Amino acid sequence: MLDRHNLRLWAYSGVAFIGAIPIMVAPHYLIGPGHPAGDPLRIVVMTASAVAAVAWGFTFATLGFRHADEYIRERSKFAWYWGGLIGIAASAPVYAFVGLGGQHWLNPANPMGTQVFHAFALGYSLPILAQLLGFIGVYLWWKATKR
Amino acid sequence: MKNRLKVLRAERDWSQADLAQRLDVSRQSVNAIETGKYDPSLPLAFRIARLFDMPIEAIFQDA
Repeated sequence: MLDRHNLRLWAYSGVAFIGAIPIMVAPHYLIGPGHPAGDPLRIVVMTASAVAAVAWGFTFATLGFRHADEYIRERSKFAWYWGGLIGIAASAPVYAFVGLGGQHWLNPANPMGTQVFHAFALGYSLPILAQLLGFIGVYLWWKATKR
Repeated sequence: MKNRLKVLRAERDWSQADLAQRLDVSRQSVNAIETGKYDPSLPLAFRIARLFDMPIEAIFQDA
């Protein structure tokens, strides 16, 4: 049975995740379909809603972490650190396979070419680069505040 | 790290949930500490020592 420490963590995590979805999706329906790709209004509104959704999620994730006891925090840190590292490591062969045209090889209907490769490489690199920058930022902050 | 938490808890006839409530931690924390799978932080070790009115080294010993 879940005690209140775990319940609070799951409750905050649920609110963080479930609340972020409508914030992210609602503007798409508010401004309506039919906007062409690259429409500035759509880009600005959807980017702003993504910022709001992340802020919402981050706020409740932080509350959940703060209300968790040290064992649950330690478990979370351990899982994020090792799970994140393993996930990134496991994605490298997938990146090589797809980047080199593996999908086209498996199914010739899938597109292949320099443009497709660049789009895939950019999409793959962005979260990894962002994670690396986040890691460096928190690492330096921790070092500066703990000496 | 070894500890006498389980014995001390049993002497008082407390369940893991009772002890967890008194320490304001999850029951999983108590279980993990008792089984030696998790070493508590220094603040939590002090809370445990205060609860049982014993010095920390009387509860926790180096393995």
